Amino acid sequence: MNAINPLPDSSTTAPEIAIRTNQLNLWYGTFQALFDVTLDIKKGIITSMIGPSGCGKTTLLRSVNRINERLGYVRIEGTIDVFDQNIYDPGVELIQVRKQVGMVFQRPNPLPISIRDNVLFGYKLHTSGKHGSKSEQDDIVEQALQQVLLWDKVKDKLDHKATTLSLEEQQKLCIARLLPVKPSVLLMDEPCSALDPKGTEAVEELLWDLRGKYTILIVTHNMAQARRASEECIFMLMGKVIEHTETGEMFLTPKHKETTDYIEGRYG
Amino acid sequence: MNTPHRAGPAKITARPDSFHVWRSRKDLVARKIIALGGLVVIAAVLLILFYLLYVVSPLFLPAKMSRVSLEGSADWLKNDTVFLALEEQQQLAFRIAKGGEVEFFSLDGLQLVESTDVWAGGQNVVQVADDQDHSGLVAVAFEDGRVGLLQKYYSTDFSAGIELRKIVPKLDFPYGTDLRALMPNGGLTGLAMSDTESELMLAASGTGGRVRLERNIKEENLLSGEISLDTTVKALDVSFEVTAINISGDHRWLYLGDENGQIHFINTATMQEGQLVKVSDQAITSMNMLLGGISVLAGDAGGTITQLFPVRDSENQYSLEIIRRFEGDRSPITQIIPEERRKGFMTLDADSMLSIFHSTAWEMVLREKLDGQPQALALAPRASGLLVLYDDNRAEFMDIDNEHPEVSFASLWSKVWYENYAEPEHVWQSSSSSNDFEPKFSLAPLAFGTLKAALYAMLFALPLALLGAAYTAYFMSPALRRLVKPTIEIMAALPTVILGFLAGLWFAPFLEENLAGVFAMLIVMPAGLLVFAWFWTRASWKLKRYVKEGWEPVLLLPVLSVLALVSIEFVGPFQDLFFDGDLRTWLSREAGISYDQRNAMVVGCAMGFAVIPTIFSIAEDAIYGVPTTLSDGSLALGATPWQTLVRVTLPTASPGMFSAVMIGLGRAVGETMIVLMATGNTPIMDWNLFEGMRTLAANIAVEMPESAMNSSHYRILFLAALVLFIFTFVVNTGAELIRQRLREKYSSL
Repeated sequence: MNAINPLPDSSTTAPEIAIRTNQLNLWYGTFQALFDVTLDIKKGIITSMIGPSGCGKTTLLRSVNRINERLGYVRIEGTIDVFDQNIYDPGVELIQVRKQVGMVFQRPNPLPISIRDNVLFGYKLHTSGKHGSKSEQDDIVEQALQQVLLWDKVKDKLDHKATTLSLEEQQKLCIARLLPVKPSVLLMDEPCSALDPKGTEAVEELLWDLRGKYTILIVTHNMAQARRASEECIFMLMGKVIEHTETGEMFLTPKHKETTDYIEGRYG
Repeated sequence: MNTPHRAGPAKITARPDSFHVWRSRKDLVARKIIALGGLVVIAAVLLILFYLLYVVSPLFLPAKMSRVSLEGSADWLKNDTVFLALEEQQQLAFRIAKGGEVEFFSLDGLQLVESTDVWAGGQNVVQVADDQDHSGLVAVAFEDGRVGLLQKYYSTDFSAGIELRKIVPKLDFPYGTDLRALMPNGGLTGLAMSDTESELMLAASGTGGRVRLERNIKEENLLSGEISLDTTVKALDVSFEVTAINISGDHRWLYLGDENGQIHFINTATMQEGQLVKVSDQAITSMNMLLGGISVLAGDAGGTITQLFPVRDSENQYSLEIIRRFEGDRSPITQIIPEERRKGFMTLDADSMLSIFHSTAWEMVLREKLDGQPQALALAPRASGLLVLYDDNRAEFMDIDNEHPEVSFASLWSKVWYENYAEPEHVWQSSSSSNDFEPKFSLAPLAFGTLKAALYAMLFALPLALLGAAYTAYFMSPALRRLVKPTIEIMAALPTVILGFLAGLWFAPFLEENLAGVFAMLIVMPAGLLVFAWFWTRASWKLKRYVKEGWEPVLLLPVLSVLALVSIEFVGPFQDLFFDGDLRTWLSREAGISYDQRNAMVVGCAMGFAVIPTIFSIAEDAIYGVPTTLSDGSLALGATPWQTLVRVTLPTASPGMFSAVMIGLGRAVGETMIVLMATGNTPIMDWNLFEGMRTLAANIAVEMPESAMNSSHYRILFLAALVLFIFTFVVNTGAELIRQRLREKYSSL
């Protein structure tokens, strides 16, 4: 059932693919969580993944920057290409993968250090020894915080602890700290589930703003959010991709009965 | 949704049913019991603190003196007492009158009990000298320079029943009643006498600088047991007037005081003028020997008392040193009375001011003005009472409450110049076989030993426990972790007496035999581990697939065992090459480091072993408890696991790790059995890794059973416990404060 539905070609040239999975199977110990997942995720747009709990959408997301590997009992077959490089290739540096593919988690997880240090954390990790002058660092911090629309709010309290911010601001900060590392793909694991409606709206606006500069893959439980804030949508069920199509199309004319049932709230 | 058996939502005002009542009661009881438990714990700790304070406090209470009125009249004493002494039970007193009468009288009613007038009649008594050992022997010198010896003693008579104990005074003349001519032509101004098992020595000074020393070597007749004296008299004529004379307890030294405040230190064997020590600008007015006959106390006309004793230098030459001075009340000291059981003494000055001092504590214990100038006074053998006879024939008795004069801040914590020591030192030596021993109650070496043991234990335990915790919590596979953690925690259940026993009887001899091997292990094992790890990273995946990720430590077990064995077995040639065959002798010869079998290294390892489980367990929990979202965030930014550990996980876990270290330290400081069994318990102050120590805790365990209840020693042991208590309390409080700040700084949510 791993149908890749041909998308209506909106542009004349074939769109560039950012993430391509091929026959991806994943096991947690003996439990198989993903079945033959084959996907093409286009560059520069927001793609959302929906599906009931336990359908494997988070697992798939976490496979794209190999963060799953911390659990020693995870086994993978198949490939994931990020910009035509199979990230599971033995010659690939894990660190390079993660530099390329940033991730934002369900619960805002700023480090218990100052706002400034949070933004610079990733940057300092990847610049050995000298981390540039103070003013260079200030530029990096300002740029990153400007991009996530946080600068005006926090510019006077950069030395405050990041954990003193509101959850919405924390989540924005978590996005901001990815930017100095210069990723091309951002993975978001239900980034708004811990936020209130206002915060959700703000983060969604931000995502829409970042669209184009980054390829964004977002897992959400919230179908309205998927509909509002994504251009393409993937519906997964029981570890399999059921449907992958343009968001509007999926919610208006789903091709599969499972999709229809899910969208209409018959399960999930 | 409604529950099926209820029609509608319960009303808030509705009467609760019995289940609800039962439930809320249970809740209430549980709350009260938990609160009570907490309060009981706090109360118990406070009770311990207050009990310790209660036992310790008498050490620091000032001495007191109270007058007891005596019944009866002392008129018959006729104001002619030359020498006065008290019996131990403070029922009888002994006096020698100017006319030579020797009398015992009871304090109850001031009645004459017993008297002798062997020497009465002819001559007036000019000087009386008490034996330094307080054996009861008294030397009496008469105007014509002749001296008689008598012995007073007391026996207890229970013939009238136990309650009616009667003390019967006895007089004896062990060296005959004949007077011995010590200072021909009279004019005797000073007298000193000392009697030992082998020798009786008398020394006298006379007008015109005459000094006479009579040495009587005792010879016991094997058949009759009779003692005969082999007498030699030596004369020395000095160019000054002798104001005070004393002989040392070992009969080696003669001390003469002069009017210029100098003490002449004379060897009795040669009887030639020797070393001169200037102790004062004013005349020496009174001199006496402290208990034990080692220290001489010289009082001058300015009221200062100076303590001196001979100190042996590296060439075995003795020189008289000024040890310490005690400030009086600016009036000339007329009398110095040493206590008979302790290193304390009492002085009387010309202004009737009475002062009690303690030499070791370097402290004035008590000062009180008498009601007039006394003709004589006597200190009870236990220094608990004082009998004063005034010039107007009044008799007065004082109760002295002075239980713990030997304790002062200085004697507990500062260097003290003890008798027979070459210089001031910190010494703990609470008891000895002899009665005239100077107890040395310095807590400094014990506190030092405690810190030394704890420090070496932490040095051993901290790296192992913390790094082990970091590895186990962060890198190890969960399955292996489930195996490793409880195993290490079970180590904490090992009775410390077993650890101490193993350390003292197995590890200490092993270390002594294989010192070089153990040090080689310290180099070989980490190096070998790194080499093996390097090879493992280079190993092909074919080999690696047999070992699951996170299970690598299992591979290290055989490797480390082999490395340890290799270090021990094959260190020989290196030892021959670099350390002339034996590291231990090389150390003592080349570096001057002495080696005890039970030393700080043994303790460090054994006690380290005891604290590792505690530190490991708490630190591991702290690291494991760091939310994975934090480390995920860091990893997702491309941090290596090591970067994540060092920059995110460890700082976040630092409050927990800090308390782990502090709890470990607290345990190491209070640990008793291991240090008791694995150190030599020698209270020395030396950081040397190869020497032992004595800790506060071990000291309490060793000495508490043999200390007399409520003695100074007993209370000082309690003080040691209090010091330990306060130390732990301060460390824990400080640690908690620091931990709170760390937690504030690194709290993640």
